[in-house]
Amino acid sequence: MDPKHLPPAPPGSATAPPAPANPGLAASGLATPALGHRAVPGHPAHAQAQSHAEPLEPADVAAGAKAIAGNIGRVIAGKSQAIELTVTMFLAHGHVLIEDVPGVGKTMLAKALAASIGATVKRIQFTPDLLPSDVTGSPIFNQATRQFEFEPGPVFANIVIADEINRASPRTQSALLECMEEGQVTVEGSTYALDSPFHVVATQNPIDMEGTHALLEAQRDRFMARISMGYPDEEAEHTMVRDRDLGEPLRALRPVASLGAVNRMIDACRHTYVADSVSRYAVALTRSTRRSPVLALGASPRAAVHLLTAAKALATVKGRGYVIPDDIQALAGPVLAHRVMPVTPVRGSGGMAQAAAIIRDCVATVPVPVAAGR
Amino acid sequence: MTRVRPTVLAATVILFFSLVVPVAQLFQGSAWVGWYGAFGLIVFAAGLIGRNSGLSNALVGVVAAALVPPALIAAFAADVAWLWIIPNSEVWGRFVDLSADLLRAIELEASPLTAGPWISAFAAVLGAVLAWVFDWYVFTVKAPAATGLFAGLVAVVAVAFVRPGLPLTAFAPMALAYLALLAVTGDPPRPRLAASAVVAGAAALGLVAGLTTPGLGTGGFIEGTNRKPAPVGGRSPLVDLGKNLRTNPSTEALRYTSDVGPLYMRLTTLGEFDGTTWTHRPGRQVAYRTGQDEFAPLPGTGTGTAGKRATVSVEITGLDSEWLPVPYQPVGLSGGSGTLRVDQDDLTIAVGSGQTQGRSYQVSAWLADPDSAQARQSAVATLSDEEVGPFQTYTWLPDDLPEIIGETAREVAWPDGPDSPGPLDQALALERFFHESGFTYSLSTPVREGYDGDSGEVVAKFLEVKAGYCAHFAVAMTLMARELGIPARVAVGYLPGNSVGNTGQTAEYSVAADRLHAWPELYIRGSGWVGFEPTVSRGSPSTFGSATPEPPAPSSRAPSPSASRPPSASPSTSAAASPSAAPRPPDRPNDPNDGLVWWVWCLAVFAALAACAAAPGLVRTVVRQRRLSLGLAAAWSEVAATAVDLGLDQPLWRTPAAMAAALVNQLDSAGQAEAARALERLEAAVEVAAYAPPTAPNDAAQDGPSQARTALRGLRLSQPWRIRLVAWWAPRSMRPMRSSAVAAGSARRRTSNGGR
Repeated sequence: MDPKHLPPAPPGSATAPPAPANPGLAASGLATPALGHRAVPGHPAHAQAQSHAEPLEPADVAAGAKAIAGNIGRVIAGKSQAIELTVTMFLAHGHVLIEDVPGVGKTMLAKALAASIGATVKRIQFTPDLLPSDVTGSPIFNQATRQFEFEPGPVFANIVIADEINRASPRTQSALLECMEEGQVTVEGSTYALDSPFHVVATQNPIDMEGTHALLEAQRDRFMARISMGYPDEEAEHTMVRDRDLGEPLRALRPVASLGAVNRMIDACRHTYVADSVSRYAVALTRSTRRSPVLALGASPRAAVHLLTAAKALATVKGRGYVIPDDIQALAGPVLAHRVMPVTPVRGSGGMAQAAAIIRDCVATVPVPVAAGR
Repeated sequence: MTRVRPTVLAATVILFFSLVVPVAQLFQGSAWVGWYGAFGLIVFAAGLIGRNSGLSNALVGVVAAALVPPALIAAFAADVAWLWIIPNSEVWGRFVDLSADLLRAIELEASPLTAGPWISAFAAVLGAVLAWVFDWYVFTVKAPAATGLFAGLVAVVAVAFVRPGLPLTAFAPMALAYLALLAVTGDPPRPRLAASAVVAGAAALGLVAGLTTPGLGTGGFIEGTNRKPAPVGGRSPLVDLGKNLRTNPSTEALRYTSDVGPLYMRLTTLGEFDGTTWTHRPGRQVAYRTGQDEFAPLPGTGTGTAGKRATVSVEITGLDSEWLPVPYQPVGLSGGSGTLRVDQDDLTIAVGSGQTQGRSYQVSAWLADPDSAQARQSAVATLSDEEVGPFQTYTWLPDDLPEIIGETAREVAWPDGPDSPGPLDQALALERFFHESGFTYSLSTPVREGYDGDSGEVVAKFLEVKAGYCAHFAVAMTLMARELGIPARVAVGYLPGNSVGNTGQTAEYSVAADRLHAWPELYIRGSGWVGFEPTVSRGSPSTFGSATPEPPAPSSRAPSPSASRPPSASPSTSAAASPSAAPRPPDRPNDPNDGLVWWVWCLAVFAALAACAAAPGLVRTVVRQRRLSLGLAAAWSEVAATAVDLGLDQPLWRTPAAMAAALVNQLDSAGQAEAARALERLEAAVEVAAYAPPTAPNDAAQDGPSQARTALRGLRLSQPWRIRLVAWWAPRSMRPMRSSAVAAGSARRRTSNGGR
């Protein structure tokens, strides 16, 4: 492991790798205590304490998000947009669906995110024979106590990577989607709260393969955003190829923020100010997809909620205390495109580009409000 | 490019025709409406066909405009043009003549102008220009509201030229049509059925309003309205007369049938002058029952003099007065009822107040002929003192009368000293003086310049300014005649009016209320009291072919004072009396100032056109100042509007940040760095104002307007001068907002072309 072949590291991370590496967070005294803290799984009705005195300033959130994105960027070269979007969605408390061809770093992205915040990460490889209990966990008879005890499944983690989710049966997909929606697991009458933050990163291949069950519209609707990785450019791919042989790059990643700090960042994003005109703009944008003649199905009201939530996170990540229409427009594609159904769908990977183009056209039909909000 | 919406075209055409109603007040007859409509429809049709066959808007405008000159030539000069439409010098001459005729008609006549080919040509040009302008603003510029400017301009001209009393209903069709046009061109477009209903409703209401407005068509006159003006009375009758002239409607006051042609209809005389005010001097009143014997003739007047008898039937249709209008000099009266009182001094015939309305009667009058040998003989010498005796009132002058009156009179009438010509020639010289020295007829100038009245000072001022109305001319000539020792008084009555019918020997005339008039009567020995006409552009100077002044000169013939000189006048005195008496070319305006008038006219028309053309730019400037004073959001919309003006359109879905980025890029590449920074600061302030929590600090908000000004100047300077000119002259942001779907469509096209 030759340091000179690594991407440039944020200052401080090279000298003290295990310590939180973000000066901004360190200065605000957030990053210290809870490193490696994790919720104890299996405790029914467990809730993460949210007793934060002061909400974070947008600038602090921006600094933290930048540190996380920079950390992830050390292992995934040349994908800063996808990384930033992933971090934003994480801070917006929204699940993401990464859809792209195999081998472009979907799983790597999810893992690097987990590693950067010191969160627990579980990976579920979806296969046709995967059962719901394999996801949620199930009661196991304990010989010693002679009682059934709940053995938590892989869903009990801060970040759950659902790889190739479209290869599992719809029944199993539904089990995961229920967890995503409810934030808890109910097995045999007992309810178990999931970790907080709980963030699902699902990946799927756009190319129709044998033995896949494509996610239904209703299921796709649960994901806040769909992120496309795209192929790296030539230089980035070369760097990746050269460095991969030197060892697993993920091992070099050290957390740059504690879970507690991340939770406070999520909280700050939730409290970002939205002017009335801007929330109306988000609604108008969502509604415009329902009027589009080229869409058989427009975006749902939940999509509008997700759009505004994501926009609040984006505004905060950019260090702004309020949402502007630019945030909404930037996120319209990722948040809305996977929910709509074109009248004449294009099969395969062209479908994503088609939906994105349709959403762009919808954006172009909605005038931006400029009237003073005060 | 875009097909014409039928409802919009219909509304535009209706607006075009609604202007007929106010313009009808300007012209006699209705033939001009045909020319107006025909040329308008040519232009509208060219626009419709051109646009629906896919020609570009600019090309449609050029084609429509190019159609008009050949059509004009074919209509008015086909007989001299090559192949009916190809212009040559004769065609040019024809149109020069037509415009000269028109200008002379405007100068000489009160509205309505008599019908004639020049009116037709003018109506055709007016129709073509208005139709082109409407077509251009409605379909090319897509600013139908601008048509209101032009319609309003026409209305203002109509009011200015007709008189202030133009009834409001004359403008109702125009207003309705304008509202209908605005309604059907709104955004989003109205449903076809609703739009058709609006247009049809406007057309119907406009038609009703138009037909009930006086002055349009033949059946539209409201006869005998409630406005029956008492022509003169009160403390200063002549000031009242001025007021009446300014406010009287063109409704009919009376009509009469005459067997000797048109006649001045006299109500009374104002002979008593106290230095400031002229009043009627009541003489001995003699009761007279209609149908009785003739009046006793006054000494030295009436049937004893040379002249002829006229029989006139008068019917009063819209006049309320204490005097009966009669031609001078009445010798007998029959018809009607009641007792009349005849003033033995000036033969004013009085009835009880309010009893004139609806009265009809026959007058027999003696029309003296000062031209006859007998009359001329006795008129040669001035009156002796004992002859003047009975007329002392009529020669009295105040001591403090301004010098200029007497001096002017002597200069004009006594070229060879006090004894040169006889009183008749002196009187004619005075009359000629007013017609040949650049006097103009104006109802408004005396009021504006503060000399409206009838005192000596007023006359002095009038002689200096040389503008006034009949009262000024009459009083001035009366005073000047008295200065020369000729007994004189002011007669008040009506101009002869317009001929409305002809049966053999007799002709019928209609006199409108606004033909109220004042003229001087001078006592000429051998003829009695003789009326003269010093007022320019009203009536015409004495000719003494008949013993009364002629009717208003047919406009094709300018008043030619030289022709009015008595044939027996000595040639030497005539030449010496007035150098300008030399014959003039008949088709030249006779006033030395006419060249100036012509250029003033041209300048006024050009100024009006320029004002119309500049109107969008001026309105735009006002809108800009207002927006810049209304806060950040308005300032930002002004930036967006200016960008639209300059062709740097920003689609509606562009956020302020994205728009600023595009414009800053434009500014930086044009070297307007200062403006670019100002725009960035403005955008930041706008963003905070629009989207940030109300508690957020916004330091940049204060200097928002100044930043906006800097940015706007930079934006303009970043464009070549041609685009700046177009942006000022025809600001595209003044068009109605397009529907969002259209905006999005064009925005997408633009984006796919690489954006801006």
